[in-house]
Amino acid sequence: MAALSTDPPILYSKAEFIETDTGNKVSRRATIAGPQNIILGGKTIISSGAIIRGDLRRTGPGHAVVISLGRYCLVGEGCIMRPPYKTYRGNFNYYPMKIGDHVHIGANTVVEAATIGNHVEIGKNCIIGKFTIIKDCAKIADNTVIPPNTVIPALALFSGSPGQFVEDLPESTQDNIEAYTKSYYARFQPS
Amino acid sequence: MFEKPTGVAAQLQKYEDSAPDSLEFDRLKEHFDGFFRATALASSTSGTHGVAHSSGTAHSHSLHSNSITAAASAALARDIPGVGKYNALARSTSNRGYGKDRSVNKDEMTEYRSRSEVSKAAVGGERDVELLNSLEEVDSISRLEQRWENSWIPPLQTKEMKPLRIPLHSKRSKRCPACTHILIKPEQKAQSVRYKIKLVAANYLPGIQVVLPHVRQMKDDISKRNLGKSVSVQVEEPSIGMTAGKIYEFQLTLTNPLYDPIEVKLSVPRIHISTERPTLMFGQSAIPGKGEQEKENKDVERGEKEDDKGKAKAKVPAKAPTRSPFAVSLPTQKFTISAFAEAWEYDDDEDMFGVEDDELGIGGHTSAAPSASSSSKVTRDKDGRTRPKTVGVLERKSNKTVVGGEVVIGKEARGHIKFNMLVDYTYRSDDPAPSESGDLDSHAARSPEIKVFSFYTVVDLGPIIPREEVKLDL
Repeated sequence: MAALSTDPPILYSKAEFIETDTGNKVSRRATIAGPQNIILGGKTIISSGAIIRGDLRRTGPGHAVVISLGRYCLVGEGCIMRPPYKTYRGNFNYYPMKIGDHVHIGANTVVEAATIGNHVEIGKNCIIGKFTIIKDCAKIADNTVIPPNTVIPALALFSGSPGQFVEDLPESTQDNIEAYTKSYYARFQPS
Repeated sequence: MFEKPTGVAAQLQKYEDSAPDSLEFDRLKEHFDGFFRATALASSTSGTHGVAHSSGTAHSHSLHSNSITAAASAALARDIPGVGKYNALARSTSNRGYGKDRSVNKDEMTEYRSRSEVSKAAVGGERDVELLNSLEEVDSISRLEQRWENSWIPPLQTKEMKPLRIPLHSKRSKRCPACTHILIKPEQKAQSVRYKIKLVAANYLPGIQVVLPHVRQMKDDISKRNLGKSVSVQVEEPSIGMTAGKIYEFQLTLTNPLYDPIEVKLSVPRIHISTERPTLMFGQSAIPGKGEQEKENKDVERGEKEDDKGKAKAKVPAKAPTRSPFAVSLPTQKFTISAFAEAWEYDDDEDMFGVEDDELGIGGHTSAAPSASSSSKVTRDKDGRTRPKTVGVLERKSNKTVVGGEVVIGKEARGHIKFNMLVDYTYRSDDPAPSESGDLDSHAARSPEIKVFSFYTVVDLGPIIPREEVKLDL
C-alpha cells in the first residue's frame, strides 16, 4: 500500500540492518556488547552508531538481563546505553536497566537510567544520569541533562540543564506516542 | 552533610527540627499551652470551679487537642462576665503551685524567656566582612532568588543553603465548563497513568497535520546526501523554510477518528485587515464567494481544537500598514474522510484530483519544487496543458485525506505564518437515540441523525525567512 505523501517512508540501506524474526532491526554499525544479556521486545530499531553495553553485568552466577527494551522502541544514532553502577557497602555492582514499550531515544543521547516506563520520548543530545527513574508518558526535551537519582513523574515534560519540570503533558499523549512509534516502524523500510 | 543521595527530605528533617526557629516555637507553644487550657477550663466550668490547682494536671471537661481551637474558645470565654478567675500557671517556666493564683488576673501571663538571646542570634557583622574579603568566586554568596526560596534566615553563603523539597505533584480531574460533565478522571492509584474516564478531543475531532512539501523535499535531498554518514558529520542546511515574497504550497492531512465517515469543509474566516508589524500573524481569506464569517461569530463553534486566545483578535494599531502579510487559499468544497477501520478493510481510491477551484489561477505561479514532486498530481486542463494541482483534495488513504492549499507571502512579511481556520464537519450517526419512554416504534429510534460540528483552530506553517535585501523606509 503506497504511503501518503505526507507520511514518507524512512529509508535505510538493506545491507545495514539485520532484521530478526520478531521484527527487531539492528544496525550492523551499532556496537552491541554482550548481546546475550540484552532483550529486545520486538519491532525495535537500533540505529547505526549506537552503543549498547550488555557486558556490564553484576557479578554473580546465572543468566542476568542487563538491558531490556520493550516493543516499538527506537534507539537513535550514536546513543550510548549503559547500565548504572553503584558502590554499596564496599561492593561495586551494576544494576539492570529496564526500558518499556514505545520509547524513542534521540540521537547522541547518553542513557544510564535505571528504569524507563512506556511511551517515553527522549530528545537528542540528552544525558540521563544514573539511577534515574522515568515514569510513563514522560518527555525529555532535546539537550537536557538529568542529574542522577532523579525521579521523573508520569506525563511530565523536563528540559534544561539541570533538567527541571516544565509542564504536564496532555492526557492524549499516550495515544499520540503509540501512534507515532507504530507509524515510525511501519515507515522504516529498506530502500 | 548527606549520607546518601536519596531520601533528601528525610535527612533534611533532622536539620530542620534542630533549627533555632523551630525549637523556639516549641517552647513558645509549651508556654502558651498552659494558658489556653486554663481559660478553656474556666469557660467550661462556668465559674464554680474557683479552686486553684497547683499541680500541673489540667483535667478540663473539654480538652482541646488543637491549641488553635483552644485559643478560639478561650477568646470566646473571655467576654463572658461572671466566669471565675482561674489561672493555672503550672505549665510555664516560672511560678509553680503558688497560692496567689486567685489574685492574679487570668489574662496575665508569666514572662517568657527565650532560649537564646535574639540579638546574639544574628550573624555578627565582622565575620561577614571577613568572609567577603576573602571571597574567591561570586557564586559562593547566595543569590537573591535563592534566598527568597529558602528559609526565613537565609544563609549568606551558597554552601550553607539546604536543598529545597520537591512540591507535591497531583493529578487533576477535568470537567466541561459549560455542562460540568466529567471529561478526565484519573485512576485512584498514584502509580498508574490510566484514566477511569477519558474523553479527549483527539478521539472526536479530526486530526490536522501540516506539511510543507518543498521543505520535505529539501530535507529528503539532504538526508540522501547524508545517508551513510554519522549524525555528527552531517551539516544542516540553514535556509530551509519559506522566504518572503514567494508562493508556497502546503498540505494538510486530516485524520478521521470516528467510526463513521465525515464530510469536512475548511474555511479561513474573513477579518478586518489591521495587522501589526512583524510579530503578529494574520491571514486574509482570498476565497471569493465564501459566506462572510466574522471572527466574532463564536456561537457557531461547539468544540475547540486549539484556543485562539489573543491571536484571533484583530488589533487596531495606529500606524500599521493596511496590507496583510500573506494570503492563504484553501479548497472550499466539502470533502469526505473515510471512517476509521482496520487496515485490511480499506478500499483505497486512486489519487483524487478533485474539483477545479476558482483560485487555481494562482496555481500557474507555483514554485519549482512542488511541481517537481507532485508529478502524480498532474491534471489535464481544458486546453490540454498539464498543470500540477496544488489546491484541493490531493490524496485519500484509509482514514486520512490530504488537502492542499497555497500561501502567498508578501515581501515584508515577518514572523510566523499563522492563520485561523474554521473546520466544519458533519457525519451521519446511525446510533439509536436513547429511547423515549413508551415509544415502541423501532424505526423512529433508528433514524440516522446528521450531526454538525465546527471548531476554530490555528494553523502554523512556520517561520518566514526574510529577504536579505536592505529595505529603505520611505
